[in-house]
Amino acid sequence: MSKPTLPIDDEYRYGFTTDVEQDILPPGLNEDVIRAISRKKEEPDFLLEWRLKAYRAWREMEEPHWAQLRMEPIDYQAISYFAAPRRERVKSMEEVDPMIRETFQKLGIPLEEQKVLAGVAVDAVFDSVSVATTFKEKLAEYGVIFSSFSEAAREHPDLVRKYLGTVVSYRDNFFAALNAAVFSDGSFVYVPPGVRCPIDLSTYFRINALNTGQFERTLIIADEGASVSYLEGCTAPRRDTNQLHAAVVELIARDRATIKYSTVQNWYPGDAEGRGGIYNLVTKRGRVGTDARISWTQVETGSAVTWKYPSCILEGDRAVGEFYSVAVTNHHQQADTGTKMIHLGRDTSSTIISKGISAGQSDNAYRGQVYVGRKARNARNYTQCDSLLIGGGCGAHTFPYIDVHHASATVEHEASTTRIGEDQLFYLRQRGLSTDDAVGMVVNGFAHEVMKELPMEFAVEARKLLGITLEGAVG
Amino acid sequence: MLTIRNLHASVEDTEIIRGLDLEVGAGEVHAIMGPNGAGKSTLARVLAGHEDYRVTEGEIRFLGRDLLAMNVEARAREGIFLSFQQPVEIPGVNTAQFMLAAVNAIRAHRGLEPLDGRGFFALAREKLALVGMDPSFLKRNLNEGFSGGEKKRNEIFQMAMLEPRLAVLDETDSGLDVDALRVIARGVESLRAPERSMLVITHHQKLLDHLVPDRVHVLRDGRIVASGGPELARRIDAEGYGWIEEA
Amino acid sequence: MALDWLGAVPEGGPEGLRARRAAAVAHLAEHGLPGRKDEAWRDTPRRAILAGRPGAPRPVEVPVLAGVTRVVVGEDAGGAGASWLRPWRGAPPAGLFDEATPEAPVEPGVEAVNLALAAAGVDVDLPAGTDGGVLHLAHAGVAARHRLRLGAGSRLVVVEHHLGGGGLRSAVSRVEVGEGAALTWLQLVDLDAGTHLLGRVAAAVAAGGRLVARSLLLGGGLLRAEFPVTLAGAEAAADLGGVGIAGGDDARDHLTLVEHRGDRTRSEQRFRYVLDERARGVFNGLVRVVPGVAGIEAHQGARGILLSDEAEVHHRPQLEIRADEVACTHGAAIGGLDEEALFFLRARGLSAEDAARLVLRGFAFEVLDGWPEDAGRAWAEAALGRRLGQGGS
Repeated sequence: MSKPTLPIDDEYRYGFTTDVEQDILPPGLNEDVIRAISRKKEEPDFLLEWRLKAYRAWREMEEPHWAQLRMEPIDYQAISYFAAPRRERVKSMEEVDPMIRETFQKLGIPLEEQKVLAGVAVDAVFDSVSVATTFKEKLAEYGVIFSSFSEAAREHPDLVRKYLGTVVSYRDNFFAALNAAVFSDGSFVYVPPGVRCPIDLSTYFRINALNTGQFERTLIIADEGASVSYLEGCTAPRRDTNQLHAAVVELIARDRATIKYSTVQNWYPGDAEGRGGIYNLVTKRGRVGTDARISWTQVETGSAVTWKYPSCILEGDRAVGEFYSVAVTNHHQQADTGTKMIHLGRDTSSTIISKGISAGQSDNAYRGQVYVGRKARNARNYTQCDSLLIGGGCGAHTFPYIDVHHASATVEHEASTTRIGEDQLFYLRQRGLSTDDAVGMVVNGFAHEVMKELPMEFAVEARKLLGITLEGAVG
Repeated sequence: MLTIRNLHASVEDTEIIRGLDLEVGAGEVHAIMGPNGAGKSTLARVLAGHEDYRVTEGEIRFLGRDLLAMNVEARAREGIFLSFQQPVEIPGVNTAQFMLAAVNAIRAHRGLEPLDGRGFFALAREKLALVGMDPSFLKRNLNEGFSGGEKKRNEIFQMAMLEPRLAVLDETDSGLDVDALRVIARGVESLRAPERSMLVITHHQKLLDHLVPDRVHVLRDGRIVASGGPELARRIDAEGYGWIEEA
Repeated sequence: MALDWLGAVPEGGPEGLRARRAAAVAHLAEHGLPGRKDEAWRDTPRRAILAGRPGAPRPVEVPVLAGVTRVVVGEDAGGAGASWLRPWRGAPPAGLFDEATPEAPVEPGVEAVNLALAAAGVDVDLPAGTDGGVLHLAHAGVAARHRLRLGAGSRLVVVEHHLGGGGLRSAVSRVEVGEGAALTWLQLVDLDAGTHLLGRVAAAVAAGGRLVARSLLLGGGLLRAEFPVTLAGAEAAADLGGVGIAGGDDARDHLTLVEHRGDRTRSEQRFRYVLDERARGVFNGLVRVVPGVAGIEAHQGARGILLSDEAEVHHRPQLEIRADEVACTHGAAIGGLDEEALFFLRARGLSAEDAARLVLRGFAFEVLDGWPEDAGRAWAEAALGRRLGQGGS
């Protein structure tokens, strides 16, 4: 075993790989592969059957093609659908492979509980499996279940069976179907009725192995009157080839429950010429019950291609949905992100704040839908999406769909696109800031409304990421 | 401190500064007056290094170095401070965040340790008092929703924080009522120091009543057409610029 | 696919024209009208057209505007001596159907229908520097295809007037606004119930030119008006406004595509919808800024008022921007009647009904801004008022 290799430059500082003994399935996808994954995870039968149904559905589906996105074709038979560090299913933190521990250290995610960022429980997912979940005992005192998905499937099969696929069905779309067939791990959270989860929960995803796809699946249930704040972070090594990340996140906020879901997505974006990088094709959706609330906050700085629309189905009366998003693209990155707010219940309300920042030759699109159904009396939506352009080679696009079927609805949409203020940059530089720092500061200010929604532990890292992503964007 | 020789500068191919000479010694305060369109603000921006202004001829030496070879932030770090005629609003960035970044950028250049939060706030409170500002200013977004007077005071506060060698005040007195003018003039006066020079661009005598200059220059058509002591400013205030042309 | 909905396709004419018509009919037989998967037709209830069985046009009396050049499309030669105006019937002016390239693919939707059906129109070639005054193009039944070319510095006001009834109407205009020329395009659509319109005004505006367009979609079944506009030269400008008012199962559908290809080009869009019963309003607008242009300003706004719980509105105000020296905004607002305004008016003694009518009037009439008095503004006001009275409270 050799030391992890660090990248030569610092452009993408999470770009190193870790040399651990891997348990990898050969590339290719068929029913035997799915059975093998299920067997490795010692899954209950219902889950294997569900996977196979998803696989059969996926085979009948057509891969979507989006006019706006430039993507290399994906060869689904060239991907390995399972990669795991050899020493799986650790009993305690000490058993985690020291190389992996070091990896997460380097990412700033210490696994030793005593060093864990104050009050945040961490589930670390390394390639296909969860390597460690911290703070488990403490959470158990409250009845909160926070574990890897595999563990939940073994130990809480009834809960998994009851909720899995109830928000994002395996037929939902091509990538959701693929995920349902082959997902290898992810996080599972259950917060019992009336319980306010005492600490923030966090998952850190890491793609390490070459030619693997990462297909994690996250399922979070806040039972009646419960609340939880969940944080998700992602990184991957630099690779010259594109890697696929097709995740599914299902949130269930039952009556009077609250779920706050925050993401800092920093998958490897590819190099300055657009070689390599992660294809981040993700389905995230939540069901929001009566008097319940789901709030999505995302800071998207990584990935070669991002395609995700964290959405809320506001099915209960007075349900609230929120979407706060910052997406930064530089070089040849492409981000197509937004949300769907589906108003079905009465007196439901939603807020969408989207800030897109484009630089280099990148493309950054907001795509979103506000739908007010026939029975959604007194639905309210406020949407604001602003785009900031840095340099003349990039694109900023806004594609809102507003579909209203009830007279009592109030829907407001505002959007603007402007270039970064040269007078602002001059002012900051006149006070001694470098151009990069001035850009970072203006961009952070532009994104402030969203950044302030992030939990403190994430905000600092996210601020830095915005600056780093745009280094050199203004020459 | 500052030597300008035969300076010519253009914006979008229009020459605005046309052969300007100026010498400012250490610790001196010079006032630049002149009618609208004379090139006063252009001079300020050229000194600060704004990229839209092209120097076509001449030289500027600052503390013995070639100023024109430096970019905007390098000049700022060397000690040039421009008080903006129209300070820029930066939404979402509060004044403290901004000021801490600026102070530490300049401290790093001077080989000093960065200030931490505690040290910064102690210093900021002291400097805010100079211009009669409340510490709550630090929490507000930079210049966003500030009144004209607040913006100008904020500029002088920044000057106090950054301790420049040469401060260029571009019509810092414009749009201020008498009380605000007095506060700002006192603030600037308190920043006068043997190693700090100032170039005060103004239309009015009023500021110069509080901040008595060592030299007064009249700029017209991009050149200095008259220079003198403080009495020159008083005469302009009484008689306008017409007599200079006749002279 | 059966083409009953399309009605009778005209016969005869020059060979090139017949070839293009055949291509369009073949296209429509294969594809019909675009469906939900086509972004430009996603919210358009095309069923209204596909289920229709066009009948004969109802004879209608075309009103006359004093001092205005009038052409009843397909009927008279009109023109009253204007040398720049040539109405056509049967044999179109060369190039209008792209008949030189009969194999060229047929653009789906409105264009395909028009290629198949158009049998008359006008060919306007306004010389540089000429003020053409007001041209009243009355459409009383026949599908029309027009070409208008405005020479440098010329001016023209066109009233595209649709009236009467009888099945599916179609009108396509190809417009070139020359350097520094000014075109005001006033579309007044007030058709009988059950009569549908597929309309399109495709304009290219040269440097310094200006297009003002107003589209009033008032009476009829499904009324769709497309405005693809290219601001080709520096400082070209477009100001587009429209209002759609509907009740019953009717639909009012605007599509705009404003492409900024010149430096310092500006565009403004303002669209309004008042929808009652089960009616549907669609605004599908796109502002596109191509790479390499500078100094662009574009504003786009759409508002809708729903008067019934079964009415629906679909707004898609889109921006596609590939240059950085831009200032673009868009907004959309959907709601019921402004309660504050209603309260205010009732506090001044108006009945609830009158207050509502007044608020709606203010909302819809704003779009008439820019409609000259001598170009049938009184008709527009009367028709708008009549529709609001009917479709309103």
